[in-house]
Amino acid sequence: MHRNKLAPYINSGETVAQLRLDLLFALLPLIIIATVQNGLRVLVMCALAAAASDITELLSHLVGHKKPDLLRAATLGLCLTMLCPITVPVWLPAAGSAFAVLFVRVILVGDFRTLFMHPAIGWLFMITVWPSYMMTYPKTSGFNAFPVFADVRGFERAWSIGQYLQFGQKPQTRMLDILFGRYAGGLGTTCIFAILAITVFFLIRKSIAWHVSLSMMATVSIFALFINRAGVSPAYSVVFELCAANLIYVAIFIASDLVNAPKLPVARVLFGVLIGVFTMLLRYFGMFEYCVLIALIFANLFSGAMDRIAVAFRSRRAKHFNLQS
Amino acid sequence: MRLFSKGIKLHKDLDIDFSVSTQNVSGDVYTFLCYAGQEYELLIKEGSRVEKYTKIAVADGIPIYASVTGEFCGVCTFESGDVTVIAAHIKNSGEYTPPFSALSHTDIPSSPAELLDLFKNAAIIDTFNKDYLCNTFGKYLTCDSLLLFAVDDNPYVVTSCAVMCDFEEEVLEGLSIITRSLKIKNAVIMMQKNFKTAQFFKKRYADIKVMRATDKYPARLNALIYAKKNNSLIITPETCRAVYRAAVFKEPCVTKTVTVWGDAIQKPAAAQIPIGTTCGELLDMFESHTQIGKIVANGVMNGYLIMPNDIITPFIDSITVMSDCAKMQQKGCITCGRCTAVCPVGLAPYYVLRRAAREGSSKAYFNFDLCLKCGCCSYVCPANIPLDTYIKLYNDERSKADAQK
Repeated sequence: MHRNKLAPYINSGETVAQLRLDLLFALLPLIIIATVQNGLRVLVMCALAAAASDITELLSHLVGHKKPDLLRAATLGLCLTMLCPITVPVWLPAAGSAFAVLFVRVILVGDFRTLFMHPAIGWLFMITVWPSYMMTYPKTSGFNAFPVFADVRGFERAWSIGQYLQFGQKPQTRMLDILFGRYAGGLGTTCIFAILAITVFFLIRKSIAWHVSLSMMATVSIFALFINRAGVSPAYSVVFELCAANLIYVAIFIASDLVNAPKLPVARVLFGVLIGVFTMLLRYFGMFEYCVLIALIFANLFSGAMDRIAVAFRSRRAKHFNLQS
Repeated sequence: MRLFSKGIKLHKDLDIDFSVSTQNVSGDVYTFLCYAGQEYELLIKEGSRVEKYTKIAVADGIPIYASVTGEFCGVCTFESGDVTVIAAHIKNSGEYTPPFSALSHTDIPSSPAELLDLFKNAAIIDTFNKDYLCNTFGKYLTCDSLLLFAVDDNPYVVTSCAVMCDFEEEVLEGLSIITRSLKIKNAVIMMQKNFKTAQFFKKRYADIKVMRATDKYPARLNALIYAKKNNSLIITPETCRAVYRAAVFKEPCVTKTVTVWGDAIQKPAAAQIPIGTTCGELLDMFESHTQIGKIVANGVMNGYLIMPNDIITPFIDSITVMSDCAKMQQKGCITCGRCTAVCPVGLAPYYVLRRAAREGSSKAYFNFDLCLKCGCCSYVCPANIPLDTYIKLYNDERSKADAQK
């Protein structure tokens, strides 16, 4: 019998691997929907991205860094693939994933490793190096058959909701199409119905920092109510702003990552509000529609400060629990 | 009334028989005298016969009574958690000794001085504070109300609930003796899941207020917050019952009610046993259906490991017998913030420890004293990091640094 074990002698049974698997499991419906809509090319892109990030993770381990976390690396690859249009070369998500892992594991040190959301790094790399691939979407129909391995050429292009809003036009997308993902956008970021269902799963499993997602979307909605870029009713304005440029996907899958988001609820709300404000300011005053991930990276810089503010606030509030006196 | 909102919901099945079974032990008993380092004086000689309820020693000014009848074989020491216990070895003769008036008082106490005498002479245990009641008596003189804490703090522990339900009259009479002696007008019973019983009490004893504790661990925090807000003193049903039996039957406190539970035990129950019974003998009274992995005293959340040959001291409320002996592998922190989300007093364990590790405990943001050592943070940590243990260590380090200044 053991004598030296310290309390508590039971635990919740949750493990780090389970947390990782939750995200992986949540991505599966999006991959399936994207495959149904676009063919086997999606699976090839996902497999290459997951393999590339895992290989880079192992290589970074070989050069003397932390213990490899293959599940996290694979999830990063899949998460990043879901942000890409179907028309990008199949190797492009793999390149972005490999760069993200390399940057986070080798270049960043100490606390900086958890400062930035990893998929945002990969996405920033891809959109900087291959902007034309990343900002071009094909016209969607019920089922688009794209070549499995070969590059996609000569396809009919379509504007995304974000691009419509950027030029002050009303998006030509029906509400039902938005719900079921029949509009131009990233592979796994368009089917709002699926993302909302996954959100319920996340909330039950407590796998995301929901404060971030909620405050981020609430901030964007409030902005959309007062500043209507498309000249539509306020309700439509809110829906279009939320669905533009993968915002809901980013809010649920990337910004609310437990590891990189601030730790305290107040800080998380502040973080979400900051992302929302940056996003909307960049949308209104910037030239670049795909600014939500840039806003996220920018907000990441302040997440430590937000935690410190929240901790200071908490330490004052916690004094009423000082039961020793 | 919302006392605290965080903490954790643990599986706590209270659907067991709340009756307390009185167990007679046949093996040797090692009556608790004191902890190592404390002074004690033996009143009997080695080899002499002792009757149950007779005074055998005085330890730190408190009389110690024999918990069984038999032959006194000498003094021995035991390890109990991280402390050493000194106990009197009594070879149990197995004779039945009826309760007799071991205490000398004539009337039921009616003043604080008489009550203190009773607490001291009967060696009544303050099971909430894990001390003798006479040592914590000072607080009784300044409090405005009494809080009868009939809630069990840990999962797999039902001692307080069982005593409250099984000996309700004795408990309430004991409470009444204390309130009358101290001229305290208010008394509150705090209950949790067994709220129906509480409603019954409320109808029967209209002058006693019954309140429900938040259904979350640590339940103790409910009592601490309420007590702080209302200048109340917390007392447990077992203590009240001991006061009643000492005042009315003149019976010193020589028994202890202990919950025996855990996944290795077939029929969990609360048993009343003589103080000083060995853990092994207590476990023999219960059927275990699997190999025993570890035995935890005082609850799985913040208790400590004991061995079968250790003794049941007056300060042990429960024994949890677990079949699992696998060690949980500790991993690196993934900064998920789970610990922060559940801390009942609003600490940020992850943040506190990170800063303490980097800058030293003296520069940490929080006063570590706020930590209740409840273990919620360690319970939810997916990386199995014993956060509360680290906080304890930093707390010690900080105390040492303060002492050196």
